[in-house]
Amino acid sequence: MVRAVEAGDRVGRILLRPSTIELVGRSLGLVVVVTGLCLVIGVGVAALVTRTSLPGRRWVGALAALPLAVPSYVAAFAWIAAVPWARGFVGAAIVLTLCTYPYVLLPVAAAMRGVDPAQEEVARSLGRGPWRTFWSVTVRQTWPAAASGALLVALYTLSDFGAVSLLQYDVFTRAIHTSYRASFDRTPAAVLSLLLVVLTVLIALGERRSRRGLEQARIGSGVSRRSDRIRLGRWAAAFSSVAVLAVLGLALVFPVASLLYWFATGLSAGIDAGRLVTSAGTTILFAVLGALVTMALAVPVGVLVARYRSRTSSAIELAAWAGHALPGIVVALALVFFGVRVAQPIYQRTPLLLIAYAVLFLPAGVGAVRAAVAMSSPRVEEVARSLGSSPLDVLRRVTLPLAAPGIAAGTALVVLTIMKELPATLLLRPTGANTLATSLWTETGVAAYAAAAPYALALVVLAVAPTLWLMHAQGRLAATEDL
Amino acid sequence: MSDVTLRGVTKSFGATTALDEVDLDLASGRLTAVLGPSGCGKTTLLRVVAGFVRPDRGTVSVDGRLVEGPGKHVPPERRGVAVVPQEGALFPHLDVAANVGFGLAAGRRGRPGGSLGHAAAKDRVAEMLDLVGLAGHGDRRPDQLSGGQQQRVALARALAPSPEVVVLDEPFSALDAGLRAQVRGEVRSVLHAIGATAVIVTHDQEEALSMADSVAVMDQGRVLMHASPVEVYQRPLDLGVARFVGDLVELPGTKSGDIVETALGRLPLHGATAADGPVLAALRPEQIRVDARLERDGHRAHVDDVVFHGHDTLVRLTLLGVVPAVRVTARTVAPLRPGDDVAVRVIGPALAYAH
Repeated sequence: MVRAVEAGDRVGRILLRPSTIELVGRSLGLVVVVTGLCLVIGVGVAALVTRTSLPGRRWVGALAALPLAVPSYVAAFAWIAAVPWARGFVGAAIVLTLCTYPYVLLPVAAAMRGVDPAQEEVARSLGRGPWRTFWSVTVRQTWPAAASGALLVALYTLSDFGAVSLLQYDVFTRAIHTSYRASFDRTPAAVLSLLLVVLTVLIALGERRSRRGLEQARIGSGVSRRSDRIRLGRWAAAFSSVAVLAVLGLALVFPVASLLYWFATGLSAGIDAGRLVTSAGTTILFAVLGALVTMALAVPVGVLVARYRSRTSSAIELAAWAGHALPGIVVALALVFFGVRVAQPIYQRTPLLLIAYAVLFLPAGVGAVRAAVAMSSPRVEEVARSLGSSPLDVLRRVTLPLAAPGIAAGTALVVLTIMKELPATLLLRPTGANTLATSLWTETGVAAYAAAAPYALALVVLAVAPTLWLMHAQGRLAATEDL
Repeated sequence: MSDVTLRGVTKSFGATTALDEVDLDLASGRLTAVLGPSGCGKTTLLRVVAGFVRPDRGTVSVDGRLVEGPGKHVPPERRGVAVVPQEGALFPHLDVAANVGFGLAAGRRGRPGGSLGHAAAKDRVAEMLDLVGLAGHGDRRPDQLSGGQQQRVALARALAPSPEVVVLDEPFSALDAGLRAQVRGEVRSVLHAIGATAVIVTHDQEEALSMADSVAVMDQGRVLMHASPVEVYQRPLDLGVARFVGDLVELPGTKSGDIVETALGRLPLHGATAADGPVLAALRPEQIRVDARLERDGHRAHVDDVVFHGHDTLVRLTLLGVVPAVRVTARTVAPLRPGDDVAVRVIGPALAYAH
């Protein structure tokens, strides 16, 4: 921001350059295509898994969420290493869609399970057929979930740096990085960053608008029941199975197979095992430290937001929500400027990187803590007060123990996201330190696919464990919107 | 156990006045019911006593000690006011014994009794579980208990640290009808057994009248009447209270002295609550006796509608030969059908309110 303001009249010139306008068009085009595809795949698979008799739907449900564990640049690497023509727009759209459709799938599946079957029964009894009921009652009710998922997809696409860079498709993030690297004049990077933030905020506002009037509360305290599943005919079942298998194959099997192939190729040439282990160690260290710093901030903020509704807490929540929308590369650049000008002693040292992680992932942490705290009734805390516990005692003996599973899930989420993070780590990591992500970046930069494969595989393996655990925890917590 | 005194307590939430100059004395060792329709401010009253809501004006004292007043706010944990919320609100992460022992843990300050040692606390928990009839259930999880059992654990948890006052917020509303009567009786006998000063907030007339030693009737943030259950039911101070605490038969009439002249004849009055002249006379449905044999002394009436309740039947009647038409309600066990003609007469005195 400061950088952009200092530049003054040059801002206008940079903004009006044809290349800038073209950049906006390319970025938005990618966002629209990826979000649309994700909605189709996410809602479709969610409906098949939760509401039909699709064979093997339990397995499909579990596997279909797993692409969350695959960082987009790893998937991009797997694709480009296997099919070199998958560069540019087509490749970026395919890779980003396959990596982000779980953001739609998970909340929509949760919402579809939560739709009160009584409402569907009422619609049926008033003369609507099963399919019309599904579209007019069920899907309409899951729209808020789908919209928030689509928002995450759009924001992810807009802020993604790794995949578009590897696939050489010029959008904002890549242009920002290039112009930052290319010259000592950092003004164009700052201006582009600002433009990117504006776009991001516009998309987020659009999503809020689309949800207006659709917010719904469950009326009465009906006992929740499960809806009947729609019986698929033989052909419908076969067609659905093929479609689902195609998605799973492209999103999971293909990248993993490609990684394994290059890994095997690399084995014969020998692997730099020492560097692999150091990179993995650094990844885990940064992820754990970053998660601890983030959660140390997130717990008090989350409790505050959940328990004390006030203007301040709403403002904090809004700030956290805004943080969702900040692309990693923008935060990283801001902190680079901050480090160079104000905090020279910690520039390119661990503390500054941890600050970046905290800024980027505080929203996720706060969301998890807030959801966990909000699940228990404030009455329980009042009882504890009336039995002689001071507010701090209540926090220690009641609120935090009750929220512990949710806080743990939030921590796992932050660990997972930090492991996958690329641009901030790339720009802010301590001199000489390499994580799995940055090593992968360096090797693919020189098209050394065989050398890059071990890092990619290690990253996927490291990310799978917390992902599985999170999916399990979410079955209980239904805090999907914060994933 | 101690008495609680509220003076001029006022609380508004935005434009809504939840409590309007409330004066209320809760007698030591007695069970007081605060009865009112939903939204009348009774829950706010309870939360003010417990210290969760700060009133805009007014004072609250517990046992002569000022706990709420201008510039004074004793936090909930130092008041010695234990709450039993709706649906119990047991701590879901603790077993039954730990729930009951929650208030006994070390670190309690500023309360009579102080903190107990580990062994003494264990004994106290066992004693409390025994009191509420759940001895041996200490290692159960809250979700393994029925609704009635959860409510009784919540009561034991509130009573364990020997609080000065126990406040219960619609504690039986989540229970089904059969269980409600049973748990109500159990809670009442536990509270009486230990001589607790207790306040129960409810919108259920039957609950308030059957459980409490005294009933405070509230509406729109005001206490309309505070007296014994019998008095509240039989001699309500005004028409609002009379209508709220039970079904009411209203007859236009003319009062002169201790007598009111109505379509059902000259009725004796319960004291004087209105000036002589035109009044509204009020009776309870059970004061109207219905007789299927017409030759008996009484006024003739036509049966419009019959609502069967099992233990008795509510009959809606139109009095014959009266213009304009007067409708009354009666309770009876006689097998009547719509269209029957019957004789009605009145038992006991009526109430008269200004029209």
